Amino acid sequence: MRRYIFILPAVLVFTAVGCGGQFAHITLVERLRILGIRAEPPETDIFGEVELSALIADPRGAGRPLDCTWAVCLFELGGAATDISCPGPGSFYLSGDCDSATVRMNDLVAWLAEQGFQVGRFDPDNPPMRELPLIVGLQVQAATVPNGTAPESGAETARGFKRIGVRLAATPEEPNRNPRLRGVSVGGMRWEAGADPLEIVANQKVLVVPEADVGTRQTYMREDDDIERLEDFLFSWFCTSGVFLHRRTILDVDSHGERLDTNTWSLPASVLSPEHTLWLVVRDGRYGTDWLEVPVEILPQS
Amino acid sequence: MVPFVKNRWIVFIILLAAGFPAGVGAREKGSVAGVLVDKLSGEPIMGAPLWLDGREPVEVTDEQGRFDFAGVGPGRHEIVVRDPEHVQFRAAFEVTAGKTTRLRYALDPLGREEVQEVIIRSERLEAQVSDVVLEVEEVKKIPGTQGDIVKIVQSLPGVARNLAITGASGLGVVVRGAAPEDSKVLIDGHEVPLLYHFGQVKSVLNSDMLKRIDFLPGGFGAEFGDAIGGVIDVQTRPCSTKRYDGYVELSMLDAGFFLEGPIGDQVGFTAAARRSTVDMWLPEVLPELLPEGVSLDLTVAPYYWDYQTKVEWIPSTKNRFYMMVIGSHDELEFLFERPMSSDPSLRGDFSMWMDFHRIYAVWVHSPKSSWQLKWSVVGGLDRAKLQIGELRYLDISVPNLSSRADLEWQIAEHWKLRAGLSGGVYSYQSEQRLPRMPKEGEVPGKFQTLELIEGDEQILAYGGSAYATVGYAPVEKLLLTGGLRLEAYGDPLFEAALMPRFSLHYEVRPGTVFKTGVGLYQQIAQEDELSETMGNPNLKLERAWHFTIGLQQQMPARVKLDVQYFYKILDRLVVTDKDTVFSNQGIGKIAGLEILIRRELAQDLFGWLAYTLMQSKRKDGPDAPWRLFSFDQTHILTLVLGYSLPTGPVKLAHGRRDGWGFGLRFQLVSGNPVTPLIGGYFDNDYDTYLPIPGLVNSERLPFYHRLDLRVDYTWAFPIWALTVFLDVQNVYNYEAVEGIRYNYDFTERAYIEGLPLIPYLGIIGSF
Repeated sequence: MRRYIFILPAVLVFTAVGCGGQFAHITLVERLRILGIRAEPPETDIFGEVELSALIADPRGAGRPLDCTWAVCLFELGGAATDISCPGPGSFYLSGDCDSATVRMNDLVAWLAEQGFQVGRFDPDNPPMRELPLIVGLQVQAATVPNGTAPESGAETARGFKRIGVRLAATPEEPNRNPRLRGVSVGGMRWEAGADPLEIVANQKVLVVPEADVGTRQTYMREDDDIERLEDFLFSWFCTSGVFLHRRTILDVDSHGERLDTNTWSLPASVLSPEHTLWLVVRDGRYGTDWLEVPVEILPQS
Repeated sequence: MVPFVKNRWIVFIILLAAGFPAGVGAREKGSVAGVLVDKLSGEPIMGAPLWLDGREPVEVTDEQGRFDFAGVGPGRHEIVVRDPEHVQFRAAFEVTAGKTTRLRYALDPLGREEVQEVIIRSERLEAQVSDVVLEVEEVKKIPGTQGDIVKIVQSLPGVARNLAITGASGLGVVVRGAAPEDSKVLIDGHEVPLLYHFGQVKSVLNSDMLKRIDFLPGGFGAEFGDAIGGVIDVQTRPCSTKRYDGYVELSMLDAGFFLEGPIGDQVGFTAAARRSTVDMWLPEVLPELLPEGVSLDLTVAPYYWDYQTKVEWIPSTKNRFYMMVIGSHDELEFLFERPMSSDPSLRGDFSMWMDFHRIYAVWVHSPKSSWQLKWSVVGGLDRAKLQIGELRYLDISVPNLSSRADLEWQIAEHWKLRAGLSGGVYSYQSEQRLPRMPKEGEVPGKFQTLELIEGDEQILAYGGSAYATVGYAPVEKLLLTGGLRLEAYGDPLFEAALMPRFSLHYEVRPGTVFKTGVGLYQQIAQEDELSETMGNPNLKLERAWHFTIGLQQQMPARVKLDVQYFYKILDRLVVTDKDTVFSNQGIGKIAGLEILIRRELAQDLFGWLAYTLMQSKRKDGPDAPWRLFSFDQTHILTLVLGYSLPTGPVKLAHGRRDGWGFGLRFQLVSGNPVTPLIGGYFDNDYDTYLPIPGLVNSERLPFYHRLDLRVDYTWAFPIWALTVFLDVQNVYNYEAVEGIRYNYDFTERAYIEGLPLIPYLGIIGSF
């Protein structure tokens, strides 16, 4: 019977799925993509309301209209991949658009009861767990393609989802809050929301440094232990031209004391259009999300 | 690197008991056919007188060194050779009714007071479709095996190719369309968790410790249970009580030693140990191989070690005792400074190690030539650990104890019985915090996004089995066998299974044998499937019926042809279930044809051509469609050839001669089925994409083919020999497809290519 050993290589393969090179780098945004979904607040109780927003990049779109559909879905992520179809049949659709949507927990609980699901799990007096992840899906579809013709079905569609923590019982812990980004430094030039586009010369590598509001970095405890932990801020980097050395960085230092939150942006030798965008997304590892959209003007080398 | 190998002539036998339940011979008489050769020159010994059991008349070898005895009664016999130019030789062997026992002895010439140890395996009692006798020196010259004779199993018919990079079958062997975990690995009759180290680069046993491997791809006898696939039964060889021998070796793969010798007149010992050397150079090379920006600190490179020690006491011809300890360890550790995803816990240490240890106590009692009892008690400890970042881990420890007793008894002239009892108890202790692993046929989700299941389990499991096989030979050319096996599982299953197995063996005409068999096989589900926290403890035994029919034809020039058709029906297979996590709703069917054409070592040429045509399908529930099994390989063609071309005389001190050696191995194999991924969902919280799978195993990777070549030249000096060899793997640098990789959102894909041309130059010094 001693065949448990086969689980080990299975885990190796499991963790390696999706790896691979020779494709466009994930940090280079060339088509319609969802780069982030934010819930405000990221954690609620069963009577609360949550405002949803999304960071949608459409570099080829030239401002074309996008259709956004939001829905709450019921599925479990097992060990095997599956088509979660969210939004899809059996979803609880939310009113909203590409700018925002709202989850009203009272409506959701009532809908769950109608569906015959385990509404009892939402009983705050007898919670089976301290938090229940609620899954909200977003589908973004381009209404037209840049030359004005209708897109093929699914050809310009992006789908994503995020979890919202639902508190089932009152706890002394502070609810999770979204992290905040104050700004970013690109090649030594600081940028913050509302500022003018940054001007950067092409064909160089520049150091980029995130600036997070460390005041939004909370301490927390997991359900299964009593260890107080400090949130990890993880930064994801995207751009419409060039690539970043690291897909993501973390607010920490390595074993040699070097910062791990910085990144290197390799700019192309030349660009067709000078107007580009850099996106920086921060996540706290507990469903909290924030982002910056940085306009950049890439100048030719003199 | 100068690896040393010992200079010894060992007969190594792989038995391809391919597809038939055990049977036992029961005919009136057997026969003996053999050959005597000079140990040093390899030349046949002509005119040597032989005595069988000390009786007259004396047999004398012919000009080819051959001899034979007809009408020999079943049981153990002794042969004595008194050739005036060689040391007197004496050896015991066994004869089976209705069988020809084939012997090959190498005798020391006078002037060197040593008796060559030869391990002889008489023809197996069971009815078989084929048997293949391979000598160690042959196998070591097959390219791609790194001198590891256990690896030759991967070139036998019915064995699927293991993918080099994606590690499709991981640590196991895919036999006749069965999952790796459906086949069982035994060492001296007791189960061990694995046969190979990581990546199947080496087996866990030193080749020089082995007497033979019984490779049983299906339809095996009632003495084996708890497996619905195949059985690989590795048996260690007896210890030498006559002379010391040994070597040390060092290569880029590992370093080790082997030592054997007598302790007094009745006791011998054998000891070997190995440790990989990969971790000493790989961390220096790896940073150059990784793409820019990937930070991977290989704190402990993949490394392994194994050990085997055996002490044997032979107080009389009727009793033999041995104690043996064996063990194996594999370890791997990475350090990821940067997070692998936006889950910060997927950062830091990524380590994996596993090991097993066994201690054997074995008694073989043969008071009469008509019966033999073998009793063994084995204690052991298996451990496996996995750590992925801070939060994900698995820690398994399984102390175990097992015992089995096997009896062979010639009941009457036409009847023979083989029977046995076995039992075992083990404590399965695990702590884990992992997501549930996907099953065969499922596409893995994104590891970091999955719900972690935490558990701390301890199961004291026990079980026992009894079997009996009766062989009946009513007429000269017909042998019928019938066997029955009872397996009983205690906690946690409390289930019993009765498994009948039958076979028929008919010699149509001299040199042509027809065989057929049928048997029922059952096995318990895997531990994680039976887990209270991660699985379903109420799972039933998985089940399979094996049907086999075949023809064996002896041909001229020492060529043997074996053709077999096999069919398996599987049911109660464990599959994922929405309600109960796992259930026994899976079924399967496997059909195939195997053809083996083999030429035994003759005039310095040996080799085989093996072809398997097969289809293996599964159905994961009553409403699920039939699909291909993930390791289904329609065509498996393997050609192995070896040739020696001596150019000088034999040197007396070590028996080697100047000369060339050539080896070739070619494989042509269908690509594995794969499930295409047709898109992805962006998971914001883990900053990753989840794959959307298409139809299960609805695509197939392209054909795989590869040619390996080996050439060596030996300079034989008076007291030692030097061999230089070049082993080239993937000679024509074929870019084999090992799998499919996708871009970040699964909208683009490309093939994962296999290993390129790898030349491997080596030097061997032997004495």
